[in-house]
Amino acid sequence: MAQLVLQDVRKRFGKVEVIHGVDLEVKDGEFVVFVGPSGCGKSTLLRMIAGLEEVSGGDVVIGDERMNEVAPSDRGIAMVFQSYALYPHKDVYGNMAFALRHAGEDKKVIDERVRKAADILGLEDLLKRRPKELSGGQRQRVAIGRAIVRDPAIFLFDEPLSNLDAALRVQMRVEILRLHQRLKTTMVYVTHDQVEAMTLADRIVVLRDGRIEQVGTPLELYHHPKNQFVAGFIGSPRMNFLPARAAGEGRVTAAGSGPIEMPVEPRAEAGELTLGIRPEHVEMVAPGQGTVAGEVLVAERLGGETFLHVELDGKETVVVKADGGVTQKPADRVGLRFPPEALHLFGGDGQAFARRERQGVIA
Amino acid sequence: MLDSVIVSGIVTIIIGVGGMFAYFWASNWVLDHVFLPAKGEHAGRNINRANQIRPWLFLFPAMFALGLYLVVPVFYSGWLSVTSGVAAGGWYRNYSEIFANDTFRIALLNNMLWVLVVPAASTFFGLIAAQLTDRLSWGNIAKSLIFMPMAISFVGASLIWSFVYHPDIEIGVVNAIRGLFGAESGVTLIDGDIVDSFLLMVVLIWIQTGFAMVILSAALRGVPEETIEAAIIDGANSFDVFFKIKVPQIMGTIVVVWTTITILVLKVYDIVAAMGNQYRNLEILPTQMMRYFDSGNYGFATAISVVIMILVLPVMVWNIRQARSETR
Repeated sequence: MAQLVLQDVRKRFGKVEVIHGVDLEVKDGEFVVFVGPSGCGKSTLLRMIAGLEEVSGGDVVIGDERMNEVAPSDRGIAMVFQSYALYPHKDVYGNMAFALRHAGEDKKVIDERVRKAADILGLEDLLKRRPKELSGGQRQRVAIGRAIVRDPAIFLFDEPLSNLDAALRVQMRVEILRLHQRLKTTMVYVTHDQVEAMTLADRIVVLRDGRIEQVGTPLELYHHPKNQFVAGFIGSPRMNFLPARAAGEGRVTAAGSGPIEMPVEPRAEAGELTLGIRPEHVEMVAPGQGTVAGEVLVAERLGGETFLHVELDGKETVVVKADGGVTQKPADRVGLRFPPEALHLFGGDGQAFARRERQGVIA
Repeated sequence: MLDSVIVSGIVTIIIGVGGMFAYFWASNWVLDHVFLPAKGEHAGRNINRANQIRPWLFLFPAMFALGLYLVVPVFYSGWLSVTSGVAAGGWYRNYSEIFANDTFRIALLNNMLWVLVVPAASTFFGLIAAQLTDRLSWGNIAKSLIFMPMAISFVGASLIWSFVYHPDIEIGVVNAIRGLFGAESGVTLIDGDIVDSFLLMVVLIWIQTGFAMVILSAALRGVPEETIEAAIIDGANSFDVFFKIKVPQIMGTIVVVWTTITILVLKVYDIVAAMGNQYRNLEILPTQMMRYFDSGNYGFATAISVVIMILVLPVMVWNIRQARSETR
């Protein structure tokens, strides 16, 4: 059953259209993440679902009801904001109880629901505190608590972890995942951070310039990106792209390499090609061996792994994710092997060639 | 003629600025080289002491000027109020006399009415104006119009409102409006009734609403938009958003505006002097103080000034405390 349906949803500010017709179905209980670079319209789309932005065209349907003209509070949604948006003059209890009190809910019911939410989030001891007396993580928990108390059909998260420091972000990410497992409520989550998207989502919606680029599970996007944008956006460090030329019989050459067999369905393509390979799939071999050769520019050592930036002889740079113990230093020559099964190929329009399904790859 | 004015102005500026510069430089030099030189066996100790003294050295001119023109008069007034004309009776004679005086009690009562009504009304109207003008496309024009009376002196404003209240149906706006509803002749609006004070208060409210509006409008803009959106999602309508979300968040500023106007009201003199000077029922403390002062009764005048100061003091303390916590 679809919990949330967007049908050709458009948003115009004056004459400028920023959302160009988005179609999406979100199933009941699904965790969907909108991800994209800033300005891609992901927050606007979320705010349209919430009712904070008017819908200029198309329909927003929640449950079975068209919600375009329904007030935000009647849509059965609750929203968690990036800045937490707690009411500074109310204590934690008052913040969480505001919506229910406003709806004229019975005092006992309010108390029960607030305490239950506080229990889920470990806020029992903080109920009498004001927001300014809380840490960032606690504030975010209160904001989530305020959403839980309303018992919404859909949770909307607008970059909720962006204001937290890195360690806390990882911790809250896990908490949100567990919350979803516990509540099993539909969640729509906006972020610009592809790691958050990959770790949280059942399905990811990649947006660019007000259009959906691709919708799919995290691994679908990782292994079968539809185009160069999605390929570059998903995965960290980002995929390496090298200009390539067709060499006949489903093979290409790139960056001074010999013909490489591509694991893709052939397609008539006249323009320039682009070869893609993720840093984690590049293998380092002795100079003179492998697909291409180059010189190490920079070695970023993270301990467990090392990112080597290698300048190829054709002057393109390739990032290689290597073992933490590699001894290569800047100016050392290395050979790089591109395992054919790990390669991606994109046409001149950026569209990916369909990759063949292979054993050992979950799609 | 003009030349000499400009020249003397420039000379004054040079003497003033140059003099202060010379003072700072010279006093600093004396401190560092004569009293506490940074050499010899006590060099370290001397530097520390000099650093403790230096701020006071630099603060001295400002403190001296303020002391001379502000602090000394306060104490001198206090001194006069318990010494001037108290030969018969104790030191408190001036106070017991003025408190026994009917006119003083009317003035005190009127003052309290002013303090209750004007700050409340100005702040309230200012708040409403701030909120409403923020939403209008022509809000900035409306704001300028509401703020404009701030630029008019109290006496000027009193003159304007004297015309508004003018008894002649051909001149007074109020009477002209009555004329629209069929009145044949004008009525005298300000004739010394005790309630006429409210007509005078309108003048000050008219002036101060602009002040309140400007400060509160800035405060309202500082309310995070997301808290408002959160409230809308929580089911608040625009009325709730204003009174339950926005106003509580700017309460500190509201208190500052309120107390600032209260202090101003306690000092107001011009409006009553200009519009109701001849009526005993409209008297307030400052007008009475000036009346005694003009007639040479310095004991009574200073006693009233001390009363005013005591009334202002708690509001002032609260005001400063609130303003400080706002900036923190």
